[in-house]
Amino acid sequence: MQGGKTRDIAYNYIYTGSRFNQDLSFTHQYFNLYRNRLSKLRTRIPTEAYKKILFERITEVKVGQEVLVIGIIIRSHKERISNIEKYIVKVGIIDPRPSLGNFSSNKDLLYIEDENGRLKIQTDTLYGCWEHLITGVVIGIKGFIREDASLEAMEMILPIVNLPPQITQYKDELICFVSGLEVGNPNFSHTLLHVFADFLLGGLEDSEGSVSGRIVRLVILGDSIYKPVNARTVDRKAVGESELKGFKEMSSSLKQLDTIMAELAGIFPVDVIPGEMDPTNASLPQQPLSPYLFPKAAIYSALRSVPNPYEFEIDGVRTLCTSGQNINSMSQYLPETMNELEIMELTLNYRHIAPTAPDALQCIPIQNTDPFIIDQLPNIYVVGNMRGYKTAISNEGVRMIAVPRFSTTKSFVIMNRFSLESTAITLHEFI
Amino acid sequence: MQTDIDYYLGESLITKGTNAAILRIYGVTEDGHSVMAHVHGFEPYFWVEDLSKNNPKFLCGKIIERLNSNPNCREMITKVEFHKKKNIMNFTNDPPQNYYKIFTNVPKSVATVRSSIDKAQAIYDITGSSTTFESNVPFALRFMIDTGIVGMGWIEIPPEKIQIRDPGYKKSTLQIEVDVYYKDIIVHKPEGEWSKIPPLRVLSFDIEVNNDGISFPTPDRNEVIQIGNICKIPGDDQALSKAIFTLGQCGDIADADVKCYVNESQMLRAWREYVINLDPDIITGYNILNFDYNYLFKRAEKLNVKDFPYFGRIRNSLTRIKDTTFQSKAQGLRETKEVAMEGRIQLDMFQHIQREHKLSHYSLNSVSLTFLKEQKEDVHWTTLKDLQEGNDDTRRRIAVYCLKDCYLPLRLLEKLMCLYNYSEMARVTGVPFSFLLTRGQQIKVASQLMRKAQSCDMLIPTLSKADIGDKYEGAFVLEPKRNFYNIPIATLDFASLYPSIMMAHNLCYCTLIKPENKKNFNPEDYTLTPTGEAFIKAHVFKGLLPQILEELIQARKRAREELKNTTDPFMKKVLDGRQLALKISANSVYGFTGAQVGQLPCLQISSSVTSYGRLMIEETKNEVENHYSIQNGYPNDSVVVYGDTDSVMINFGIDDLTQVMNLGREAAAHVTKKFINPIKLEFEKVYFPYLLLNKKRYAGLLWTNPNKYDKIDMKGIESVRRDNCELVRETINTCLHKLLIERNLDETIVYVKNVVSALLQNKIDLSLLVITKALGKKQKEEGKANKNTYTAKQAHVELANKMQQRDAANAPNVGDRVAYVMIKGTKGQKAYELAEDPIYALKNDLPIDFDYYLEKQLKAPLMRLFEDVLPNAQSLFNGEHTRKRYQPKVTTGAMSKFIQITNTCIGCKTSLKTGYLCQGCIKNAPAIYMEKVITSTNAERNFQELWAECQRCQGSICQEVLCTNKDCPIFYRREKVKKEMDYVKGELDKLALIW
Repeated sequence: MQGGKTRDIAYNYIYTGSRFNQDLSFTHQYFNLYRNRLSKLRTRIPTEAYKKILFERITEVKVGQEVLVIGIIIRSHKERISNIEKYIVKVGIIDPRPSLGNFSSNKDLLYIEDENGRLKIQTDTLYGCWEHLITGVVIGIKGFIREDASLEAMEMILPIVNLPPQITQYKDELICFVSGLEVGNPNFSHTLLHVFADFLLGGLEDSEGSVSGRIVRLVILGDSIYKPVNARTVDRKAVGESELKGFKEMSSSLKQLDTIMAELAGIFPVDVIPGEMDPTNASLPQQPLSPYLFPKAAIYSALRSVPNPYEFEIDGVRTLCTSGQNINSMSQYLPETMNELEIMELTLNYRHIAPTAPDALQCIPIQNTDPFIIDQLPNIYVVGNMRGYKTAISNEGVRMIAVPRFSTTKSFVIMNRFSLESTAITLHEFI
Repeated sequence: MQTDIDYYLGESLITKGTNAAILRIYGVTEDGHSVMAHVHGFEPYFWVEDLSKNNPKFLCGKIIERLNSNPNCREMITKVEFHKKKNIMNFTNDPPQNYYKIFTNVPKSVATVRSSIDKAQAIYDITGSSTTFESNVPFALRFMIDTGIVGMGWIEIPPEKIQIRDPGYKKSTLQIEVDVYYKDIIVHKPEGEWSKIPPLRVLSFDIEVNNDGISFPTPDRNEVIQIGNICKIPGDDQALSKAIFTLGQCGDIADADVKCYVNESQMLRAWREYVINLDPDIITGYNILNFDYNYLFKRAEKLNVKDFPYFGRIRNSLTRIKDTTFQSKAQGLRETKEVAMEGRIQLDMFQHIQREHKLSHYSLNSVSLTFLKEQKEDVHWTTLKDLQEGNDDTRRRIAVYCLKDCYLPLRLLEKLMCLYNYSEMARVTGVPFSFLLTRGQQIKVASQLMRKAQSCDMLIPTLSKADIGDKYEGAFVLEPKRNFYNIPIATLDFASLYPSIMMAHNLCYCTLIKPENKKNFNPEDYTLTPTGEAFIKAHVFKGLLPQILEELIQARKRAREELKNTTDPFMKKVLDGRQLALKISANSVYGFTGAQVGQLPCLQISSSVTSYGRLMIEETKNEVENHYSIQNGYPNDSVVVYGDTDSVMINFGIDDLTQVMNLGREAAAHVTKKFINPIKLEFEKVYFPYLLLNKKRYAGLLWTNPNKYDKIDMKGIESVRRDNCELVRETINTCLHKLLIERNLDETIVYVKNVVSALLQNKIDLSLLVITKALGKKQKEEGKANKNTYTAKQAHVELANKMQQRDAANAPNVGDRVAYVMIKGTKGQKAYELAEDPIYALKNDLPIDFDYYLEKQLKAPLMRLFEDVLPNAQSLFNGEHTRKRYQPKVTTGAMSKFIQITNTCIGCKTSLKTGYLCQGCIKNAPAIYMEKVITSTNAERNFQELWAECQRCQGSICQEVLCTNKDCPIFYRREKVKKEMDYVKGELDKLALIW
């Protein structure tokens, strides 16, 4: 039963992401999450040099003072449409404001808030750099209180963090990352999925020698199942429509995925992270997909159904993964010119995986902690369902990898688990 | 610029020794200094006609003697003059007559002497009454008319004529105080350079009061805990002052002065001091007149803070609150309070909005939502008690909330351009600013008429207020040809119909010929109106009202011209305010002549105006229908489908929008030729399609340009009753949208059927079904004592009582809005027993009474809408789609004990003995599982969107959301989504067990 065929790999896997396993409880409000985020990150902002001007409470500052305040940033977007507007019954109004893809503009207002109150931040002295600030990040700001009680910001101070652990060994072993398989997507050929599986199973002869033979782990970063349009809402108002049609389609796609994963999990460990489209809760942290959905693959212990975000350590090398909702959400509220990799680095700098949760990103109203805070930088930070493959090393030495959506790019990523060098492989249907 | 005028009795610098009326003009200088002038020498007077036939017995001196010896008006007359004037009533060829101008010692005496003179023998030894003229003009207005000062107008006093008072002699708290003789004042017309508005200080305040947790606060028991203030010059970015007075310590607020007091009396005193030092010209807030002032003053009385009620600009002058009633035809009788504070204008935004805008709710929440697109956090008053008894931080929360309540009225004031619009109205009509707020429409026209009459040496009689009773025929409405017109309907409007009729036919008091005098005139020289009245034509004598109207219309033309050429944003606001004021003024002249309890009603004028209107609509109809016919070579016979007051709707029988627009324009020009200048018919818009339901009840898609429609225009439909639930409004609006814009009748029918079937299957969001009603004064339990008195039981009152028993602290109180849903009852339960608190209904799974919503809420408005669209509108409410009904679990009533809840299949709801899925559904288990997951994720999304919005709306993400704003569309959804999540989670857990 224990997957006798599984490739014999001797490595030291530790699951370090248990903080992302959370109860699905929706009985509380969101303010606790912000309070926990603030109190935890506040202690990590280095204030020794500013003892004299540090204010424990934002409300105690006085006009004319030089201050250092610590708080959560609120960015109020001029272009953002209030959720209330959706619910207001409109009389005589024809065109509701069209929703923009991106809400950021240079007219946005910034505030900094702590448990007691908030201050308006004057952005004109920050030149361009305030545009990278976003609701939900915790920072310290050194500045000056103007006549109108706003804060003229001079310097931003970020929380400190533990650097990634040192990597001491080397082996020629690869980890494969794939995202957005979208099994069942009608615009996408099934054969490609089989080509992908064949590649991993070594069925395709590789001119540069056996890449597949060196793969020791597959991580699936979300959106594995395609969600048909008629399965996106449960609205049975329409008279006469077959009620479960969309969901039946989904369950047949699931069967296909199950078959493929059973094949793969027989060869090496497979981690399945849920994504936005997958059938589990939609709020971050998303809880593992039910094993009942994969009756065949679930037999193998090598199949791990894990939460999103997901963090693990192998031989002392730490990897942090998300299915991409955190980055996609942030990109709506940051300048359009920023690419996905830059936004990924921002989350590392802010020491927080998902600052826009819960303001703009669905999130469980967790009572006593904020699991998205980064205490220890990982060696590798992988985000799925991005537009294209990109990689870089952050200022603090984190290897960042943006994994493209398989269904639109036909690409996936392989990475050496020690050198952290990675490459994208694009499949062609008829090779 | 003057902002207010009043007067007092004192020793005048002109007539030393005696008590005389001295006017006080309050104002602001160009650079924003507050200033007051004591104006000396202007004497009160009125007119009376001379019936003496030149009898020397009635020479001026004699009259003084006679009147002063009258026991009722002893020593009141100071002077009598003799002038040649004309009575404004009726046109005659007679030369001007003699009139006495009678001066009195003080303004009050005018009324006293008038009532004596009404009995004519006071002057003449004859019986019968003698008419007085202009004897009911407020003294301040009299002064303004005679000197040419208009409200919010500029006044200059030459430096050599001015006496500036030394601080020791100042009576007021203003910065500059001067004395001046009234003839030395130079008045500037509010035009050009003198259109500007100086920096006026507007203070907005709001109080928060404590409570005992059980009943609504009263000044007898509950203290004032906070007073928030924001003072600002409209148009400025920054506030001049932002201060909060708190009882008990309170955390700092960065941009506001937080002033904490241990003792309430101290706080009240300090606040008074603050207001006086700030010296605002205008005080605003939300419902301050009826609530805040009253509470503060009563509270000060209770605490015996004797030096509190002194807020005026005159030192040591007590500020009083008076009960007044405000009556108008449009709003009926309204009881309100008036706060008289010398030199400060009370502009309560609540009253302003009630007066000027028709809304279904007037709470600050819904008003800000309507005008500012902003929700306001609504903390229930019982929560305030806990916050007040908490610590510095919780009290700080009240403070932030209180300041927001000060800020919103100010924002409304600026957004609605109140200052500019009122100022311009004061300038156009010539009345003081405060008259616009405390008096009705009539004084505005009267002021203009008196100014005009004075320039023509005419006098306006003061009529004793007698109801003239006779009703005359009002505006005219053509019988509508009800239908759904899926063809362009052109609309022609008469531009300012009533003013132009009055101008065209020279209708005025002074052009009206008495029937008995008609024979004295050449029929060529007068017009006979359709009601048979004769008015002299303009070439003989031009009436005052037509002159006023002409000036107003000319001035509006100029203002609009200037508006086009101005780039200065402040000037733009001023000019826009002016053109609006001019338009309103022109339209209210007609109303003045027709007001039944008016100052100078003249039904001959008003009934002539409406009958002309009627005639013109009929003539237009005939002309259009005759001219635009197949006979005259047009593709189709045109039909006037509807006409109302000043517009006609024409069906030319042509499909093409551009063609209809051209024909409309042509028809307007064609018909205009038939009428006397300046009456003008204008083509304005096309409705396509057009749903004509009844008189004054229609909807249509409005086009002014053939390429793109403007909007959906509705009349009589949008005013869905206040006690309708949101579902009705949403359904009606969606129907109109589908009918008019998508023009898809089939889809509209499917939509309505879907709504009906969703309602019957319990799939409508609960928040759409909530009905709110204000809880009126508690009826004392007299019913028991006197069983004969029948008091109708109202559902929301019964519910309030029920809630009182459940949880007294959270039950609604008098004045609160009660929100409820109607639930299904058992047989024999009365309708009024079935209202239930939505939250309670949600938590306890109480079944909604769908039939109530279908029959009592949805049906009537939908039937009205579809009557003429569908041959069988009833079919919307019965048929296949109504068969499937939600069967609620019985959890209430006597029967619930006998019913065993049977186990049902999660997939198809058929009952099962054991397990969670039936045989048919088990093979679909994964699909059913996923359906439930999606249901759950949708609920999750709503949860996040709603709660995140509430955090944003309250302006803090680190503080708990306390708001219980029942008018907010989010409130019930927020609760419901929790319930939904619980339910789906239960089902998911069960499904997981099957595997």
